[in-house]
Amino acid sequence: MARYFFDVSNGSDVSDDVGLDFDDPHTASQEALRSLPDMVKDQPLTRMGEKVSVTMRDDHGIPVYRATLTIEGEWLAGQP
Amino acid sequence: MIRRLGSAARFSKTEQHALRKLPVATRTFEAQQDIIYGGGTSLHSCVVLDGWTCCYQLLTEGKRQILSIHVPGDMPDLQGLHLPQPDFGMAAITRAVVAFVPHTTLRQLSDGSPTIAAALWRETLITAAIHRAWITSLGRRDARQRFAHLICELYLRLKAAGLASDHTMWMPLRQPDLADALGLTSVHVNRTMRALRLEGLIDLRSRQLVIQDWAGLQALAAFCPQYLRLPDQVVSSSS
Repeated sequence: MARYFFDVSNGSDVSDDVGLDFDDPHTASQEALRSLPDMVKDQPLTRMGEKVSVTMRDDHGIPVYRATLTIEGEWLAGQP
Repeated sequence: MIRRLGSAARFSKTEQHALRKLPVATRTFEAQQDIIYGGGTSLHSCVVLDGWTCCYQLLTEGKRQILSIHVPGDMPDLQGLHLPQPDFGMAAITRAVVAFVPHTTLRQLSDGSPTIAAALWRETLITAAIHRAWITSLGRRDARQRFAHLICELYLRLKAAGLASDHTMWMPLRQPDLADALGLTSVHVNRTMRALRLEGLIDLRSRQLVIQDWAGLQALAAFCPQYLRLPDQVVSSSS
């Protein structure tokens, strides 16, 4: 069991000072990855190429993993 | 239980006496311990006397959805009186003391008293109203609103049970419990709690949750407490 901290950037940046306990870094990274689609729902999608990312730090504060989701939308026959 | 059922009913002396004399078996459960297994046959309905419990359903890959959270005074499986095979499990969130009342006795009691039957029916209808509010939250509220709605609901229910006041409540739910109740990942719950703290709506320290901006939290959640059917003085007073 080790504690990981998850800094989220979705519209605004929120850094984690509480953390969550996981059995291993792989499980923690999976949880970070799985959280991305949910977080998109909280975000106003105004720009093209809007990004949501979660940066995972270990208990020494060192960033060890980042999951990113980019939302793309484009007009196909010129913007109306 | 009598106070809870009696909040909307006037029981006679005989009815109060019969409720007091209900043969209850009291058991203590440790945190995380199962209280009711889904799929079995249940011969009792229970009353939470101390601690918190939750009803849940399990999915594949170990996923769990918490369907409702129960605090002292709640009767989480009253529907079992007529539907004795629960389609959900119930577990203790904290160490919990639960009283079990035999269905046979409850049925005799409600057969003999339309007032008691109506009070039990009303209680199950409120449980259904809470489920409706949760469906709306899970389906249409975003994470901040969902979390805010749950806090508003729990605070008023605890306050009605005399277990919270001054916008301060015990918060024994761990982040994985909150994730299973809100249908979110624990990373997202963690982020959402921080966001509400940074916005000055709540503060959470050593399992003590303080609602710093009650009006703001209700506005964020679009919380309308009417579905809880609590006494006016619980809902209306500012604290």
